[in-house]
Amino acid sequence: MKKLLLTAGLTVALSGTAMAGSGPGCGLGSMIFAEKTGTFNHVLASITNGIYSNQAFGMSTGTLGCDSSQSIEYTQVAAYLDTNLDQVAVDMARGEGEALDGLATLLDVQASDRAAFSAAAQANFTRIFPSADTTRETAVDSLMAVLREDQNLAVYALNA
Amino acid sequence: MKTGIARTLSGALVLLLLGSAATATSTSFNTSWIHWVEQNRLYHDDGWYKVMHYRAISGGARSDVEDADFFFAPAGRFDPVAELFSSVRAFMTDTPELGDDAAQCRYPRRFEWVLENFPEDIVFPQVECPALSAFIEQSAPSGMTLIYPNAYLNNPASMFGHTFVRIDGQSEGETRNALLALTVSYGADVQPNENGFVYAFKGLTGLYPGSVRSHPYYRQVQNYNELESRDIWEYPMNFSPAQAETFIKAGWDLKDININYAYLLENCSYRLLSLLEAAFPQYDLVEDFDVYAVPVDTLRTLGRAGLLEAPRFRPAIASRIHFLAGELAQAQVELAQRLVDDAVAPADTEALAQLPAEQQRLVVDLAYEYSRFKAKKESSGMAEVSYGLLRLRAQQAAGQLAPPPEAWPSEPMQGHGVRRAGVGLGYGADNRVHARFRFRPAYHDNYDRQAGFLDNAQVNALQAEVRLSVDEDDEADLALDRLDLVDFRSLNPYHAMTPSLAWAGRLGWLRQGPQEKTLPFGAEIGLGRAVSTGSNSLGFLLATAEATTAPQLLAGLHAGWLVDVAAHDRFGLEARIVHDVLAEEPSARLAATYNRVLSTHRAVRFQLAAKTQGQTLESSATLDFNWYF
Repeated sequence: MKKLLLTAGLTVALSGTAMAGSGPGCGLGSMIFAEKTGTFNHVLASITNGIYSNQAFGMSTGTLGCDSSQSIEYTQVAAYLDTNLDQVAVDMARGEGEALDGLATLLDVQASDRAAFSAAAQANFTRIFPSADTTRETAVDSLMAVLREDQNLAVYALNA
Repeated sequence: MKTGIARTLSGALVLLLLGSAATATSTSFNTSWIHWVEQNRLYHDDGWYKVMHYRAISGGARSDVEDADFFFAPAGRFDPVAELFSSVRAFMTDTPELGDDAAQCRYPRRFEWVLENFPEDIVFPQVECPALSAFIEQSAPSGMTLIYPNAYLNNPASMFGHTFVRIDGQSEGETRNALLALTVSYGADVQPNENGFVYAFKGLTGLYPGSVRSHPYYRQVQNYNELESRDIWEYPMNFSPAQAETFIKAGWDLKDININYAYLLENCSYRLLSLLEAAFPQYDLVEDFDVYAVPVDTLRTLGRAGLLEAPRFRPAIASRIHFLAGELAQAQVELAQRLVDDAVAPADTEALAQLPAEQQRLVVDLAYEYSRFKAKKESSGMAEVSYGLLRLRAQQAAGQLAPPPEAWPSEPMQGHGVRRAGVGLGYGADNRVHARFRFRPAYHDNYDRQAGFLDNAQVNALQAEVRLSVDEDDEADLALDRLDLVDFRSLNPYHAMTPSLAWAGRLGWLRQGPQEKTLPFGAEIGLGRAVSTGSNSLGFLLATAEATTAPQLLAGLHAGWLVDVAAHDRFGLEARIVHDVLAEEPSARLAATYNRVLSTHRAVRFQLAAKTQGQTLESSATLDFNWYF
């Protein structure tokens, strides 16, 4: 049974602050191996040891521009992958890793299914990441397709 | 700022005003909590001060928080008495419709402290706080970990490391993946495109606004480990889940509140200690610091309070590259490099296929990390290479190799003390013995015991050297020989996969020799390369340029060789040749230095030097006893 990581109150907050996204749902998101932040802003932000952000106590999802049609789980997965896509990609290629495990946690994969999840990710790596400019949105869609084809893992696929 | 009598008078005045403002509830109920506060003088309680970040100042108290929004009383920043009455009144008049804007929801730690210190028969309105509850639910606290990203020489405020707290989460009774944890940290609010000089001035003088923020830990890891290539140390803290929740509330009190950032004292690490005090007033953490707070010293304060356990090491991208390279033979390291530099060419993939499976995995892993490191400088083209390597990797067996604890560097608290004081003797060109005293408020040089510090990184701030000599007429003379504002040197040995320049920079006053009457101010920079000359030695060569107020304009070369001896000792030979463009005069200097470590915080340093000045050759020797604290 899926456990919501956020209360309903937050859903209200999210939909209230939806910004214009670049696509349906949460937009295309970042690409793997794309430069993550503008270097100058980054340098200054790191000078003062603060990741430059206009969210004081924001949770990761607010700036994504996800619209209210998206489930909370999808929004969290999208936010996580937008920062972490490289790390998850390399963990999938290696068949294990902390970043991949973080994704499994967000998808609520049971401990007993984690090994199968990692194995399926590695076996289907080129399907989930078909090229060097795979976007987060494409990767998530492909991963969900992979999960649905496995009878043990299908239960974890998001309906997004 | 008020005296004790004025405080009591203002308290009485508030009491009168509150008592006379009749509300719907009975007068006796209204005043009972006021009597409780007065009887117990709660407004002078150490806990109240800590929760509100008050510091005692001459004549009264002042909160570190500059933002008027933090206070309910008009001059609350300077008036703990009025502020307590006004805060409690605000909590008393909250209504459920206010939701997240209720005083209880905006200042949950303050409210929690009031509840803890009030008798149970004083009842407050019940208010739900949806945003706070959602945050606590998402963080699902099981404990706290103190995160220490290592020093980073490329930015001034990062040269001494950084600290923030990670709220460890649990999921169905098990520890949840650390990357998903929420963090609480304090930093300056820098506008994009801020001018570098404006930044430096405002940062040093405490004019930068600053705030407490929260990010998921994976964003921090991405920033420190990958973008900045800084190792991260994670110190589990001795706090329970309930205490972690209290800490969240202490951070929430400061959400969207401005507290000015000051680089020297009220910086990220200091603010973190005051947040911990606000959450757990039984600890005294901030009192150790008055002029400046160096992050590793704040770790030591927490260690002495029994709050930290042995740390875990999270290696940065450069560290992972060096580790993997160390696990492979040189030929395979070169193959890994070619795989990237030649964009996964067939010749290289064929050579790869000849290796045993285990080594193929390591080579591809190393090549991938190198491609990501290389992408920092030249991102175009690297995406295809990194992707090609991942495709290769996905066909190999699962698994990854991380540096085991034996391979971890020494953790920062194992290093020598941040301050160094030295007493010594010198024998100089005047053929006389003199005494010398040196003091350095921070931080570390290339000859000090290296463990616990960034390899080969010298960061000296405000180092001063004073000489006491007796001249021919038996008159004692005290002279300042040196005062550096800053003196940095980075001598990272060149590694083909993580290329770096060796560099040096110094700004300060330096007397050219014991006979010299003047103390000119100078600026010097050096750029060049360091190379590894063995498993525990390095050589370097820098091209240098220096300008002084003597006046002098010098250009030259600085070469050196440093070697680790025994467990922690260091020996170095350094030679400098400079040409004074203005005086048309060359000079050379050769120095041999040996630093003998007696213990973590004590060492003896011996130096022999010879210098040419025109036609003359001057030699000198010094012997210093240094201790670090």
